[in-house]
Amino acid sequence: MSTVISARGLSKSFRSGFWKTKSVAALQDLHLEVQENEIFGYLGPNGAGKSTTLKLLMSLIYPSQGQVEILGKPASDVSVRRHIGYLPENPYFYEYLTAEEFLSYYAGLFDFDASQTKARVERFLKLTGVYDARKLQLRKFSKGMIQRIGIAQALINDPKVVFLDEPMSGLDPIGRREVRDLILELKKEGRTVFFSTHILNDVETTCDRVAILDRGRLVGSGRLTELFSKEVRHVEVVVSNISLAQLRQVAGNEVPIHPSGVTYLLEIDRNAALGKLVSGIEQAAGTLVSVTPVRQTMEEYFFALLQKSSN
Amino acid sequence: MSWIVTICLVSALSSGIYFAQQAIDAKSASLPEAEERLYLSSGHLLKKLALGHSGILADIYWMRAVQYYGTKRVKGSRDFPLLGDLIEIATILDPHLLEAYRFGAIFLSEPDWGARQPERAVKILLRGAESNPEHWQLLRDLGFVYYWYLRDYQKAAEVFLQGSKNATAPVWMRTFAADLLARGGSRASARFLWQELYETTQDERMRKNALENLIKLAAEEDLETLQSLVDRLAQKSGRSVHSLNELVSAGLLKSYPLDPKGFPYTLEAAAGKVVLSEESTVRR
Amino acid sequence: MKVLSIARNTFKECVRDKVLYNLVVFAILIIISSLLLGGITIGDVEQIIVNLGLSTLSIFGTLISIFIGIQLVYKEIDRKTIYSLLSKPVSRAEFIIGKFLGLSWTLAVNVAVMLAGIYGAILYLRHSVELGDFQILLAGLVILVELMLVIAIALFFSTFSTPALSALFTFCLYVLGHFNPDIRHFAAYSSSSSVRALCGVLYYVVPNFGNFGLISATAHGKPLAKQLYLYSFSYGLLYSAIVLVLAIVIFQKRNFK
Repeated sequence: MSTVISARGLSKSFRSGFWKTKSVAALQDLHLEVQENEIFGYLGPNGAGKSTTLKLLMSLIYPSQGQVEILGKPASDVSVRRHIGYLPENPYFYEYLTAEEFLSYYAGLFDFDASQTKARVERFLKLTGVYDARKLQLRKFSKGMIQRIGIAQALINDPKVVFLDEPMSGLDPIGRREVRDLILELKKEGRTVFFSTHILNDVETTCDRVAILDRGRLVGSGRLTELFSKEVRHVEVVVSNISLAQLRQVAGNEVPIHPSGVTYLLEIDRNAALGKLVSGIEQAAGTLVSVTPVRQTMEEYFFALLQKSSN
Repeated sequence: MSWIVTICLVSALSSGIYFAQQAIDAKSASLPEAEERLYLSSGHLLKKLALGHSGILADIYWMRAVQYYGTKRVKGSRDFPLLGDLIEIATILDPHLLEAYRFGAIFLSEPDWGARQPERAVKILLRGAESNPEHWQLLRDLGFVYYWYLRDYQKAAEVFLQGSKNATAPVWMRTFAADLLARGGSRASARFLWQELYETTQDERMRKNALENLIKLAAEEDLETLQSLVDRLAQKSGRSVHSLNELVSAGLLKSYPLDPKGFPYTLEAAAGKVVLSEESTVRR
Repeated sequence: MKVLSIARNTFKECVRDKVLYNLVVFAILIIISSLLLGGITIGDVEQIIVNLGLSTLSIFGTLISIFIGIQLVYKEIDRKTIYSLLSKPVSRAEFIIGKFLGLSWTLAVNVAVMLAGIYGAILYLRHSVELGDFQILLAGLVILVELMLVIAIALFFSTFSTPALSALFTFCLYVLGHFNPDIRHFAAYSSSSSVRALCGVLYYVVPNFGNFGLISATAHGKPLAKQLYLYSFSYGLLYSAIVLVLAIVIFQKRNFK
């Protein structure tokens, strides 16, 4: 597995104030590595520095310190861009162009010949579901359609690495589902996806690894499963067809039991011997409805991290 | 773009620009005298377009006038078709540009090395006098034009008199006016005016021009004197004089007469007239 | 070539821009009204047509160059279309040059249309072709290169300045450039040698728009030396090139927040 994106000691400060003397650190000492064929989530509250990181990756701004590389070459190298795709946040494209003209224009910036360009434009117009609106000027596109054409332009060159900045923002649930499915599809195709968001649920459902940013600093990173498996809190066991008394006998008195209609929910400590409980329930002729390890939710983990970083 | 590439490009392009500009300047200078025209020759229109910055524009046109005259002189040209427009524009844009009036008075009127348009000079000076009633100098210059270039002694006297009414005007203007009215033009009065100009102007060109005219006057006087001597000799000897040497041998002159620039006067034997030599640079 | 792609797109952008049409329509109105109200003197109609046509082309071309030129880069940054554009394999230098060529091409079309109009009018009046007519084409080309220089200057300022300031700076440099020959006169006029030296340097540094002033000579059909057109044209191209180089240098260093 090779590293496709790497940041080492990446920092960026902006000068502000009337005389440009005050220095504001937008990003401090970022170390990051994204492996091939990963879906990497880049999380953080608003203003954390996510967009700054993406702009540094796209070489729209230059680092104050440190290096950033994509596919083994510095991010400022123009040739790298042959293999990447980028969807900016709240994208806006040339409103006087039609969808077809727009994609053709961007496709023309790669080294495809005329027939290849034509084929690609058609393919991605169809893929993102805007083919019927291809002769329409972009000024007439709705936000959802703009997002789609944005994805089309990001993928037009079959990039190895795809960068998405808040791709779900402003989309309705159907749109968000589609984007999520697209991201998963991209992974199946062997590509690497790097996307930033502040919506935790999106990350939980798609990412392999995440990094969490707060106020310009990296406060946590790693495989999603690793981050939370450490944090399994308890196991929820839902049973039915058993009386409370029998349950008490099997589980013991310290275990919290929550009745809910015809079922009971038990909160079992994660270190407890589950097997004994299960067989005890079976012996009592009860029904085991479900056994769910309750891990810390993404949200809880996230807020705990932020809390830690602000201390 | 690396620094090296940038510096190389900038240097190469800068030299290119420099040489192109030089080529353009050389080519335009060597052009035959195409019909000259100012693109915008209306001073009043320019004043409106200047949107309140007529002062600076006036200075620019005044400098252009001076430059125009200078470069044409250097090229040996004796025609200055644009000079009137340039001075008129400058004085419309800024009616208080006194130096322009004087320059215009002389070089617009001059027949030899000027625009030969004394009427235009008059027009400009009249407007100038109207806008600057306290400046008697404008009336002095106007009088000068009337006197020397237009030979209108009546008008000249009127103007000098008018100017002399100003408290700060020099005394000679009044007496000069009176003299003009009484006896009309004379070489002495002409010499006086050119002398006055020579002494009061700071512009090198105008001083040189005044000097040339004073020399011309001196030469005219010489010619008159020599002519009377020649006539006297002819009468006395009963035959026509063939050369000015005879004046020397007759003891009427100490040595062969030279004009103020050092060229010998010659005698046209056929007409018996004393004239300047062909090579003489004295103005005719 | 990518530069040409960007240029082609810029051309589309300009042609679909309402500002352009407003100015062109206005220019046509001005021409028609001045012809009607001008009280044409007999015998000089041709000269007036060439004069008027070329002058209008120059004035309105300059306005177009400034007002659209300052927006070329600004719009892309303001509307963030540049974010996705620069994520493609195209350098910032290619971007600037492409924008420049696109607007220049738009103005070249303007020049062509105006020249066609002038030639059309002359042919209609005269029913013949003369040798001096070729000069009108040359004058048109010189006007085009003058406009290209204005575009380059507008682009340069817009790489680091707001549209309002860019327009102001470009306009000021344009005016200053027209009075450039007078800087030289001032040098001759002044007595201080340091002022003379400064003016001498300024003469070459400030763009000399006086070099492009061939309109009235052309209108009179005066045979200007062909080399003069060539030198003026070269001057315009060289100066535009150097301004573009500087614009690229600044643009490459820029952070897009």
